[in-house]
Amino acid sequence: MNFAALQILDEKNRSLGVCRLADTRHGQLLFIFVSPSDELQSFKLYVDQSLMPGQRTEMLLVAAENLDDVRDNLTVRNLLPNGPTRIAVEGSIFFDECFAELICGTIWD
Amino acid sequence: MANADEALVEVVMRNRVGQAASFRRYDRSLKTPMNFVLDRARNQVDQDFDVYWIDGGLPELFSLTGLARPIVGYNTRYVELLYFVRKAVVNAAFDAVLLQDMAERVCLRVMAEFALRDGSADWAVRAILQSVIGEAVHVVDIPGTALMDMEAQPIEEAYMATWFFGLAHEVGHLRSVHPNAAQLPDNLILRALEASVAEWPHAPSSLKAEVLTKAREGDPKYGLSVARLRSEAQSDMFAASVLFQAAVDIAPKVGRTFQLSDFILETYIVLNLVILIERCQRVARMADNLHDFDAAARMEFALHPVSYAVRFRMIKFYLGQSVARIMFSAKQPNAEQVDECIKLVTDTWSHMQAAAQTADAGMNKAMRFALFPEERPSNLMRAFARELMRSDNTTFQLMQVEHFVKLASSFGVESESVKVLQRIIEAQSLRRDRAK
Repeated sequence: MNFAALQILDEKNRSLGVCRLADTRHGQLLFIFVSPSDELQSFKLYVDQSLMPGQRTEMLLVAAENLDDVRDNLTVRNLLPNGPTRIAVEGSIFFDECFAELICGTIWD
Repeated sequence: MANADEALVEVVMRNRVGQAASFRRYDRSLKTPMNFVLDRARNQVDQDFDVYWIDGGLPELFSLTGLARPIVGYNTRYVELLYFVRKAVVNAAFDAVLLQDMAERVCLRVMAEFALRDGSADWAVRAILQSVIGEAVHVVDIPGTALMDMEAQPIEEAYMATWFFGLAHEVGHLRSVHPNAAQLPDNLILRALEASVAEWPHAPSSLKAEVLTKAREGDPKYGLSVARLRSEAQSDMFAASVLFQAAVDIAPKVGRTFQLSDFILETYIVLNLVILIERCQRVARMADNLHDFDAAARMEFALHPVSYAVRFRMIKFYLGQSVARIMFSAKQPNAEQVDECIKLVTDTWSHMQAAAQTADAGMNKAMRFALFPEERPSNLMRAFARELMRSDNTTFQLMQVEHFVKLASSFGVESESVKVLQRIIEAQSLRRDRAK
């Protein structure tokens, strides 16, 4: 199964890590998409509006059997953000609700 | 003692209807069509009872025994839903596709409301979302407004059936449990069951035989036992009999002539609607939990269509008999006369059969959504959020969802999905207020 996250790159194409939302009502939140995903495109559009100059976003494909593998894969590549992070995987109710709240602007703590 | 009884009634009623509903004992001294019907119902039962008028809460009517006086709960939301679906079913302007879509949405709404009390809140949220997303045509279902519309309708057969069939049915349950009440004979029920089982589509003959054997064995816990079938069929027939009398008596008082064919047709329509809501209630309880129920409970669930067929058969028999008494001026019409009138009832009902089947197809779609979670779209909350953000023409969806959220709160439902829904609609209301 192909999972995907959004990663942020600097002007020299160095990865700054996967894109996560801080200060949500669930704490730090990471969206994992099931590739190919229309939602990933919407999320990219949303994140691109708040990038620093020179930064850009790119889809990061994560080949994994399950969610635990996704987490391990990101950890090995040092791409997981620091601190406790909740992961919302596309297809789950949690993802659906978090994303809906992102659309309506009610996700923030 | 009276105060203690009243306090007990208050507690029992509150538990039953939730915190958001208001209720009051219905004043039987008022000169209203409802009391007109209740007077006739009271004449056919051996005991006094109180009727409680309930606004808000779950769309259900019920009867409670074991108190100093039995209680019948009359919920206006239930009657509104009947009215709302009836309008769609009988309205020639709705084509079949639209009617099926509407029936599916209404069923999902009703299931969602019942699931808040009897089932899972998360599934209830999915059901309410599915019922409002992508609604192309809004048939206004704002709690309270349909009631006003209903009150303005002429007092004729449709009015009497929609307002009072369910009420009279519940009073009929009080009559059924009374020790002195005459009971429908076993053989009549069994004959209706045999005929209904024979017409049961897709069921293997071994299952049909098993059903009949178990029903004959007489275990009252069995879903298709004679006792259980009798209880519902007898209450339906009681309701039809009370309404028949009331409709005949009230017609001249409001300057009309009683229309027998309208009454026959309205009985068919209202029984379809009553059964539709009852099915929603049962599905709501099992959705998401189907595998938690044992094989017997699941089998009972699968057998319900047969019990509904028995009810239709019994009420058709009752109407056939009643019509035969009128047509042949006979207290005891013979079998041939009754058969002729049953055929007349069947012909009259056939005018609405296509619409009833279309509404049923909508119900089946709603059931599929309920019972097969793996088939549900996984983006319902997002789809709802996007609709709200993209269009300002979502007032009715917002009202439906707001009603649902209030109901959830009234039942003390703690669910993250309900909280999400609440935050989304609150944010939307704020956004609209700012835009004004």
